[in-house]
Amino acid sequence: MIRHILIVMAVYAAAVLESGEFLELGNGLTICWLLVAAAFAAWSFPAAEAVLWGALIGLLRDCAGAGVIGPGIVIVGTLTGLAAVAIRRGGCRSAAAFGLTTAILVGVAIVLTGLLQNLSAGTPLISGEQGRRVLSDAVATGFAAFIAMWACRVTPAAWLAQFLTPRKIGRSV
Amino acid sequence: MPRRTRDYRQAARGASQRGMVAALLLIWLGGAGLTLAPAAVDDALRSVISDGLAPGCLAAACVQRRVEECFANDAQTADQDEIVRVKSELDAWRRRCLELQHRCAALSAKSAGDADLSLDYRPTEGPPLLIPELLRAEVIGDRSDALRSRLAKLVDRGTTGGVAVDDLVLADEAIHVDQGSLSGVSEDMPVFAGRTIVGRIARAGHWTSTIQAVSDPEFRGYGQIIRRSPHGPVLGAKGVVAGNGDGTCRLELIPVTEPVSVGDDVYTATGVGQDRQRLHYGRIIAADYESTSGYWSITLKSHHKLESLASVEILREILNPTRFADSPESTTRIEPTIQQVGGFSEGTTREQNRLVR
Repeated sequence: MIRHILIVMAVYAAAVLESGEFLELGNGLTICWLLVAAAFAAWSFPAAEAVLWGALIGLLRDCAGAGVIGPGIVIVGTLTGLAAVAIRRGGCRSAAAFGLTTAILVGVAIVLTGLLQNLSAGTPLISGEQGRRVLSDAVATGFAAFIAMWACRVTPAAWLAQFLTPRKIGRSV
Repeated sequence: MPRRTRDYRQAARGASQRGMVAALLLIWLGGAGLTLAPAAVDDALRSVISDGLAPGCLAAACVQRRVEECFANDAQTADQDEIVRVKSELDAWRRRCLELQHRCAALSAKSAGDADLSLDYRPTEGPPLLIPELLRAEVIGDRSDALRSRLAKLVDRGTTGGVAVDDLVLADEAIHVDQGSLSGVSEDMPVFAGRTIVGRIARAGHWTSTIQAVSDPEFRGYGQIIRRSPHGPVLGAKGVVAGNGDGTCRLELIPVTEPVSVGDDVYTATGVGQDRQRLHYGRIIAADYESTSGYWSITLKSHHKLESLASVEILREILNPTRFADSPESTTRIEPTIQQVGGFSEGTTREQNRLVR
């Protein structure tokens, strides 16, 4: 239950950060805070629950955007479930693995969402500018997720997180 | 591994996979339904989520404002530190200035003491040999036919024996004044109206002369821009003043790198007389940049119009009478020229003396 409360707070904070122009980086770089929360969900929950949290996060992303509501639910939910299965079977629990997982999740989610949006709008599926933006956003968000996990490991919050969550957060970066 | 435990794990894994498949089916159906749902449903969902995020956004905005205020306070503190530093530097420079003033005063006192010691050897200023003198001349006309008819009446009465009208009228279209070489007037002498230069002597006859106005296309002079400033007049660039023929002049050969503005005055580049007074050409009424030539195109306008003047003043230089007052030899030679002719012009003294006799 506590894990669910924590993920609710994380998702709400991420949605607030994405809804406004808070903490926006320069040079057009943006951090997909909601996808970082989805990565946390994949890291902390079983596959079925991760799918549902991913679907909720996808719904929030669709509502934050101007496109059709629905594709984000399918894409983010499915990716979060697959990430949860992969993490569960891989067994790697380091912050670097978490950052890499987040980057892959962000990149694939943005690409698939963009493809679906472009397909529904009848525009070219993907352009060079969109590719560069996807890559830069994925790298920025993965790095932010890595920093967040590393900070959780080196601060007293790590003890609280490890105490509250049954899964131990990794031993080394 | 006991068989019961292995069976339990396989059952849990199967349940988890079934749960995941069920969740996936659920979200796919939900996603497809929302995608196909009417726009009103989307708008309702967006408004609900937006209302739910509003308190968080408000709190984040407050936090952001507080953080910005903290940084602003830090910047203000930095500004105050800079002000304190600049004030301390200013105090230091003021002290340095006072020290230099004291040192300057001490050096001045020492210099004055040295001057007192060398007071007996201080040079005395002697009277100059040449002194400027202004000769007033009346403008008698600028049209040759009217001037001829007017002077012909006087000449025909026999009061000027040996003088022909052609000796008085020197040119067809030129302003004539009633002073000539017998009064010490020679060519190229500047002609003034007050402190404004209005032309030069173009041709000097025995009794009359003609004037070339500064606006004449053939006129050339040496001028310098002088602009007014709160701290006094400022000397500008020097150039050539040339007439345009339409009552205005132009100042040539001023590079575009020199500062020029409408309203600046143009004076003679060299001073006149002992105190080297500069005489006024006119005021700049237009200044345009010529990209091809690299020079300004400056137009001047004089305060005085030569055609409307009744009298002008001609600047000439004479020998200083005080230099020859105590010398009998010089007096016998020079005095008649100065007293009777009223001026000195090299090359005309002998002729003037003959005419006076």
